[in-house]
This record gives sequence, C-alpha cells and structure tokens, in this order.
Amino acid sequence: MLTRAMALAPGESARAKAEGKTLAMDEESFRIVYERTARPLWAYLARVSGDPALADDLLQETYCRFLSLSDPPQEEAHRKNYLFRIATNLLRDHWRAIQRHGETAIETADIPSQDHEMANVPLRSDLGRALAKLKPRERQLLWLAYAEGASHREIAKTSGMKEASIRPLLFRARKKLLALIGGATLETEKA
Amino acid sequence: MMKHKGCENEVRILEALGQGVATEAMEEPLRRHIADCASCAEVVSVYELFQYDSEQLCAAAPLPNAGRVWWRATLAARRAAAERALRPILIVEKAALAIGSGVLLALLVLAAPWLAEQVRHSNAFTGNVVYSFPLSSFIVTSVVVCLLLMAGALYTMWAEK
Repeated sequence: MLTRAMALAPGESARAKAEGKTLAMDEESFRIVYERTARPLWAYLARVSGDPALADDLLQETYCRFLSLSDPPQEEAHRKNYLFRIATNLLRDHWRAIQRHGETAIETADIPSQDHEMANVPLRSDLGRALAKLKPRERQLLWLAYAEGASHREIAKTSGMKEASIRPLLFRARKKLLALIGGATLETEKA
Repeated sequence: MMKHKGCENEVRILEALGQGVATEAMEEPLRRHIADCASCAEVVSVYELFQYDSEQLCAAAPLPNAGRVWWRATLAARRAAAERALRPILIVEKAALAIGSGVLLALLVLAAPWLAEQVRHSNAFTGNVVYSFPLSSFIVTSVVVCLLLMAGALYTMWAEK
C-alpha cells in the first residue's frame, strides 16, 4: 500500500519518464490536461456514484485509459467529452460488477486512501441527498445537462443512449428530483 | 406548450446556459418566455442549483496528485507491454499443447488394436512380446511418457495461472 505523500524514487522516476514515451502524451502536457479537466470530472463521478472514494479510484482509472489511447483527442471540448465518456463507462462497469459479483471492478490495492480528506467534501447537500435517491442513469443525465451544460447530442454520446430519448428522460428525472427536493429547499440552497 | 417532455424552448435555454449565457443576457423573447413559462423557469432554477453544487464540489475536490496518476498510467502501460510481449509465448504454448494432444490421440488410435490384442493375450507380455514386438513396446512406452509429460505441462500451466 502506498502512502499519499509518496514520491517516485529517482530510478523509478527515470524509468517512468522513459516509459512515458509509450503513453499518449508527455508528463507536462498531461499535467495541463489534468489541471483543466480533473475537478469537474471528479465532481461528476462523486455525485453520480455518491461515493468520493470510488470517484477518486475511477478518476485515476479514467486518466489511465485516456493516456493509453493511441490517438487521444486534441481539441479541448472533444477531449473533455471523451473523458466523461470513459468515466461513464467505468461507472457502468462498476455497477455491473457489483450486480454480478458484489465486488468492485477497479483494482484498488495500489491506490492510497484519502478518507481523511473526503470528510470535507460537501456531498451531503440537499441536492446530493435527493440525487442519491434517483437511478444512476437519471443522476448522470441531470449532472451532464445541468452541471456540465452538455447538449442532448453530447449527453447521448457520453451515455450511449439515443439522442431522441434524452429529452423525455431528462424531463422525468428533473420532475423526480424536484419532487424529492421540494421548491422551498431549491430557493434556500441557491441563496 | 407543456407536454410530457416539457416546454419546447427548454433545449434552447439549456444550450444557451451551457454556453455560458446568463439569463439576463439572453435574447428578449427568450427572457420573456422564461418569465412566463413555469417549466422553463424551473430549468433555469435547476441549472443554477447544479452550477452552485458543482462549484462547491469542484472547490473541495480532494484530487489525486497528477504525478501519481501519471505514475499509475506508466505502471499500467508497463503491465500491458509485458502482456503483449508474453502473448506470442502463450500462443506457442497453446499450439504445442493442441499439437501434442492431437499426436497423442493419433497414437492412441493407431495403437488401440495392438493394445486390445495384448489385453486379450495377456500372457504374451510375460515372455515373447519384448522380442516379438519391440516397436510396439516402444510406442506404448512413448505414449506413457507423453501422457506423463502432458500431465506435468498441464499442472505447470494451471499452477502459473
């Protein structure tokens, strides 16, 4: 098990640099992409999964898969959509694995725990509690549409659903969410 | 215009909001519509609520260090490269196993009449057989050795897995 403050040993760092050539981009470019995209991606994973620790694992796995692409998207919006699509697929795989075996699909043995930091994450807002009562697909749709401002086409691409079905599903999900939240809470939370 | 899908203008409003256009900065007809349409006003409220929540979450997100994610990706790449390198060996192993099994089966089929003959005349094993059928004895010994080797190979493969 690694510690959170773990740094790469000098030899390991050199080897990692050498092997970095097999990845989709160099470390500096990756850092820039990561800084720009990781926070909204983490928020999406945390809200949709309802589990910050899982969001942490899936976030790392998302970037690992992104880096393993032979030709990753260069355009920023396209890249962001691609990352969200990978994350959505990982979430789906995770839920399927739980349904099948009652265990997680992601290997977590080499991932440091950040439980102490998770305590400060505002996951238990009224919105968070209401979202937790919705189906995973409804949470995905709502988050992509209202938090990410994704168009129906982008949502369809990310979630693997038909574009035409997004609108009615989104409408129903919104109505369910509002019924759970209540109009009064909506106003106080915004204030 | 409210249907089970909501108001038809919702998509336009959401797209505008998604592009960073504030309600106040929208076109006049759209702004007036939001003021009149309960469903569209609801869309704006929900959008603002999610934006607020997203900002809070993003600000507090305990992100893993980019270097650590990079390190993990290099590990995964190394593992994938090792798997790719081992793939031909595994293919050869499987092919050898399949060919060995085929040869063994062919030998058994070919030797079956002779084996049946030997069982029928079991006393033949005691004396003359070694001198009468040295080639057949050699085949039987080979078959036994092959069987033992295959059992060993299977055990080794199973143990590695």
